[in-house]
This record gives sequence, C-alpha cells and structure tokens, in this order.
Amino acid sequence: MIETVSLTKRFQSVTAVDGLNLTVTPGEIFGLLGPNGSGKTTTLKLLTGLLRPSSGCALIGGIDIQKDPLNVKRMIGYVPDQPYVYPLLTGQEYLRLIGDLYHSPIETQRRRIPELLSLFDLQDRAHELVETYSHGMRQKLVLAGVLLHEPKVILMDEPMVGLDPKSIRLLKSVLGRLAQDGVTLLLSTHILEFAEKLCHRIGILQNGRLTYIGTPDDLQKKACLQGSLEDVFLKLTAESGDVAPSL
Amino acid sequence: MALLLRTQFWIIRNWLARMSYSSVFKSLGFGLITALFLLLLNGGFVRLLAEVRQVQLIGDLLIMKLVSLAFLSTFLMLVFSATLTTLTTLFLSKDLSIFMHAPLSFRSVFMFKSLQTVVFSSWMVILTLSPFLAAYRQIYRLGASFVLFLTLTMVPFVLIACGIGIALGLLLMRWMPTRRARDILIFLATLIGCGLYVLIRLMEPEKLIKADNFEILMQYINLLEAPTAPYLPSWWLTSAVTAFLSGRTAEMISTGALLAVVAIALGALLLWAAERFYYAGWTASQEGQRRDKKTPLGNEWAFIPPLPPPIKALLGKDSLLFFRDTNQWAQLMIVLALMAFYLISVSKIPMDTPYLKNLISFLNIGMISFVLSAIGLRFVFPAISLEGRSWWVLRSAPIETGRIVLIKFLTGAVPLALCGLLMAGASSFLLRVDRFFLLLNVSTVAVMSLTLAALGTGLGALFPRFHVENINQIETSPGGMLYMVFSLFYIGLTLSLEALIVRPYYFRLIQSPQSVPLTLPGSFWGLFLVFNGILVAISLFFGQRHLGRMDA
Repeated sequence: MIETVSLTKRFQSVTAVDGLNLTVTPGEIFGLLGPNGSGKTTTLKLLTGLLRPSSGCALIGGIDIQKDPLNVKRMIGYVPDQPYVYPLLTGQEYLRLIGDLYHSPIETQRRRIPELLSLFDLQDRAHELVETYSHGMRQKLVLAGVLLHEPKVILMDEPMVGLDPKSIRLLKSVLGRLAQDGVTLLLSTHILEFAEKLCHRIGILQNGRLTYIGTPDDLQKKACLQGSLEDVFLKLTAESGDVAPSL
Repeated sequence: MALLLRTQFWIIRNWLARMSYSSVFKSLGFGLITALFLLLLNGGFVRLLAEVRQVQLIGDLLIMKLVSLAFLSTFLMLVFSATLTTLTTLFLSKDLSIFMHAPLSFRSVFMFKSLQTVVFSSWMVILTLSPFLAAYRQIYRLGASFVLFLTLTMVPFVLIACGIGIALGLLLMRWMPTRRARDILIFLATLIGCGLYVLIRLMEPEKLIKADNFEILMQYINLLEAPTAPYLPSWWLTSAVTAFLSGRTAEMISTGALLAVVAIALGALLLWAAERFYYAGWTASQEGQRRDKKTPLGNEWAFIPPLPPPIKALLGKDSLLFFRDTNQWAQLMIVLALMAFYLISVSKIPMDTPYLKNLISFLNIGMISFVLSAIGLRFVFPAISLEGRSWWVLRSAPIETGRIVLIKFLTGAVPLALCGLLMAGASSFLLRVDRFFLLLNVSTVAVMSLTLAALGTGLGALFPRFHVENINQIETSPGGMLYMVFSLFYIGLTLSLEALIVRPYYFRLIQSPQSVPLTLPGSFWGLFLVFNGILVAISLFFGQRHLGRMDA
C-alpha cells in the first residue's frame, strides 16, 4: 500500500532522507523510529506530498504522489508533528471543513462528526474556538479530522505527543481496530513502548537511512539483547550501521 | 539585555550565512527594484519641491509647510504602527514564552522587545519618507552635515513616536487584558487613528495650492507661518530642520535637545510603567477568546451561495476567519478612511476651468487605482500567507493549488471591484464628469480592480510568508513591496495607454463640442481587455505553479 523507491530529499547541503526503500502492506502498522533529526518527519511529509523528493518516488496504492497527487491525497490521512489548526475556527467548523474538502457527504458528516467529537471527548468544546484548546485537544481534533474521511492510509507524526494516558489508550485501540479493517498505518514515535505493543514492524532511521527493519522480536534478536525495545533501540542507534540488514 | 541582543545578532548572522546563491540573487533583485522605485519617487519630489520653491515670496514657506505635514503624518503613522506592533512583539510573540521562563528580568525583556517594536514599526515609514527628505536636501543643496543633523534629530523623534505607541499598547493590555478586549481595542484604536487622519484632511491642505482664495496675501502667509500641531514632536523636528537651513544654531540645539530630553523622559516613564503593568498584561494576553454562539451542524457555511462543497467550505472558512480576526477590522477601517479621504479630497478640488475638470477626471482613474492597490496590499496580497501554519491542512487535502489560488483571487477581486466601482461612481458624480469620462472611469476601474487582485494573489502565492506573527510583516515583506512597485508601473502604463484616446477626445471637445462621440472606441477596449486578461492569467499561473511546487 505504501512503497518508496530510492526516496531522497536534500535541503541544500543536508540529506534528510537518503535513498529510502520501504514497503508497508495493507492492514499493517509500521513504526518509524530514530533519533532526532534522523529524517522521520521528512519521510512522512514526502509521503503526503507536502515535500517534493530530490530523487526517487513515493507510491501510495500504486500511485506516484508526484504524478497524481489528488488521487493519493483522497486515500490518505495525515497527522502532523505539530497540530496547527486554524485558531479562529471552532472544533466543529474545522471538522466540517475537512469533511467538505474530502468530499464526505453531508449526511455522513452529520452522523460522524458528533461521534468523533464524543470519541475524543471534545463534544463539550465543539463550539469553542481552537485557540482556546490545549495542545492535546488540538491533537485529538486533528485525529478526529483524519478519521472523518475514512482514509485507506494514515500517516502520523508523533501522534501521542500531548495526549493524556486515557487518550493514548483510546488511540491505541482505535489504531488497532483500523488495522484490522485493512487500513495501513505508518507512524513515527519516540514512545518505544507504544511502538513495541502496537506496531507489526519497526524501522529505524539514522541520518536519513533505514538502518534496521523488522518486527520488535527480530530487532531484539538482531541486537543480541534481552530486554525492552528501549534497550534494543539504544544499542542499535549507538552502532553506526549504514545499510539495512535483511532480517 | 546584552544576552538578548547577542542572540538576535546570532539569528541574523546565521540567517545571512545560510543564504543560498538564489536567495542572495533574489534579495539583490528586490534591493535593486526598491532602490529604483525610491529613486523615481525622489525624482518626483525634487521636481515638485523645485517648482514650489519658484513661487515668489512664499515658495520657501510652502516647502516648510509641506515638511511639517510630512513629519506630522510620519509621526501619527509611527504611533499607530508601534501600537499595533507592540501587541504582537511585547505580548503575543512566541519567543516570549522562552524569555519569561528564563532567569531574565522583565525589564530586560521589555527593553529588548521595545527595541524590536521600534525597528519593526519604523523602518518602512522611514524608508518611505527618505526620498522626500533627500529631495529637500537636493533643492537646498545641503551637505553631509545636514544628513548628520537630520539623523541625530530623527532618532529621538522616532523613539518618541514609538514610545507613545508602546505606552498605548501597554495601557490597552493592562486595562482590557483578554484577547477579545484587545481586539476590540485595536478596532477602537484604528478608529481613532482613522479619525485623526480624516481630521488632518479636513485641515484642507488644498488651500496651499490656491493662494487666490485668500482676500489678501498676508492672510495666506500667516497660514503658512503658523505651526502645524505645535505641541507635537513633528513640529519640533520641522523647527530644527528650518533652523538648520537658516543657520540659527541656538534654535537648532534647543529643538534638538528638546527632542532628546523628551525621548529620554518617555523612555524612563515607559520603564516605570513596564515594571507595574507588563507582566500582568502578558499573562492575561495568553487567554483565548470565548464564544457563546452554537452553530447547528451543517449550517457552518450557510451564508455562502450554493457551490460545490470544497469551494463553499473554503469561502466559508475564509469569511469566518476574516470577520473573527479583528486585526482585519483594523485594516478595514484604514481602507474606509482611505476611501473617505479620497472622496473628501475630490469634493474639495477647485474646478474653475474645463481643462482642470477634464484633467482631474482623467487622473481620477489613476488615483482610484492607487487606492485600490493599497487595499490590495492589505487584503489580497496577504490572503495566501494568512493560511499560516495551518497551510498543511489545505496542502495535504485533495484540492488543487490552482483552485485554492483561484478562490483567493475571487474573494479578493469581488470586494476590490465593489470598492473601485463605488469610488469611481461617487467621484464621477462629485466631479460632474460627462458621459465619456463616466464610462471611461467606471469600466477602466472595474477591469483594473480585477488585474490588481490577480497581481496581489499571484505575487502573494509567489512570495508566501506562512511563519509570520502579524499581518504587517506580510505587507512589508519584499513580495509586498514588489506588488506595490508592479501595481504602480501597471497604473502608469494604463494611464499612458488611455491618454491616447483621452487626448483626441479633449481636443475635439474644444474644437466642436457637439460632434464629439460619447462612446469609447471598441478597438481600444479589445486591446485593453486582452492586455489585462494576459496579466491576470500570467499572475495566477505563476503564483499557483510556485505554490504547488513549494515545500510545505
């Protein structure tokens, strides 16, 4: 469902993503890990079309995002690292905007918007301006917006940041359910416990290159280490592997 | 304070060091265009002042009056600009959350932010005034000592004006701390600013060009010699400049010292006020505004005519954001004052001769389009940049950038055309123009408003600034300056083209008034429409292309 072929992005002299080859299958939850500045956000932005690749390509559902961006964008939902939402719209208005932009029928919106607001515990604040929302509430609003148009692929950049424990648990269960329904999920996270429990496969990015890829169990074996994913992650990122070994 | 200044220096140094060759090239291009524009303005002022100076007996007095009016308007603009800038730099700026939590004294933060306010609110105003002051220096053949003296006296002048602006901002946030109240007060402050503007206009400076309106010349000379707002620093600066010209050293020193002492005293007063009000005002400004109204689900864009849902949603979103952002109201008030100012001026123009009447009727097109370009700079040009950090919402949605640009163009073009038609109709009525000029005015302005809107949208898309803290930073960006320069060239070109049909009409009117056709030649209109159509298409095409290719 998601495929990148030698995907590369350079910002002047800095190569943020370097020849990335990655495939994520339908219904899979793929976690992208890596230290700060390793290229996770850039990768997600390349997949959404927010950035243009310097070389290589990104395919969603077999369609190149650069060649047919509209059809790809109809399929995807994106949660950015910072939930910047029009501060002078209300929560409900934001969801209506998203619904209309993604051609969601008004009847569907009338049914889904109250459901989603209620799911994320925002129903009492739906008529207040977003500028009065906390970071976590904005994050939940963006998540509700993504779920509103029922995308086939969801790309999430640090979706847990700012969420309270109850909301994180809710998000886990929602994402698990979506994967069961065949939705493909690619998310970047620093919360390793979250990745360990939720992701089917994990990839580690270092300096824009995918250095390790596999299931959490495979990674542990590769690192020859018993313990949590955090121990494995710290060991692997301490080593300077250049090429992703096949696991 | 030293640490904050050093940080600012590092930011600028890093920004300069990281500039790519294309950015350097682009900046040089902007610099060159701006310099050319300022030189053109300077040339115009030199001609104007040289001609005014030739007026016997009163030439120098007239120039002094013009200088005092220029300083007065600069002073008011600085106060107003600093008041609005203060609300952003001192209260809503993002870096404040870092500074306020750091072990820095509030006094240091206040001083640093005040300095930023002075720079942000004054550079553009000073740059605009400089061609006029340079022309003044040229016609009186003043040397480098004048430049030095003017610089020394301008510094306290700018500090006083900005100090008053900062004090007003501080008081507004102290008394009405929530953002809603802040917005309402921006609105009121604008209203007062606009009122002042119109008041100055009602002082009837046009009397300066009509000395024969006075029964005796002495009355006129008295009017010229009378100080313009003698209690304001703008008059002190005028006195200092004229004292320099006449070589009255004692007066030069005393007025210069007066400006410096007042600036220092105001600074001390501000520090005292900041100790008491600043922190409380800043914490209160962090609150958001509350809404009580509950819109039924599905009726959010009910006020927009039936259109495809994505377009309707975008139009609805833009309208809601516009009317909820009272900074935009402030801008709207300025526009209304600008229009009122123009119409009042038109109604007061003396029309003694048919020549003058026809000339004014023709120049009316240029003046209206100039006002429209100023409106375009405030509303149309920033439209794309105002998407701000929420730009990712549209960029990741399944909607073409071309369509977004087109919607921004239409939302700008329709109000701009309405403003233009209103001004063209009202001014034609006030000028009592004939049918030929009525048709020419109304039709030209209608077409020009569309082109100006396209130019604003296109350049706004070519030079978007999504990460600014207030709308003034968008307007005063290089792209904004380029928009104004292009608009002025376009207006000049249009007037030159129209002169080709106005001149024969005018001569035929003088020779045989009965035989003159009162319609406009179709061939001219064909060419005019094609020319404007091409401009609209080019502006929108390049704008949307750049926006579509840009990294978000």
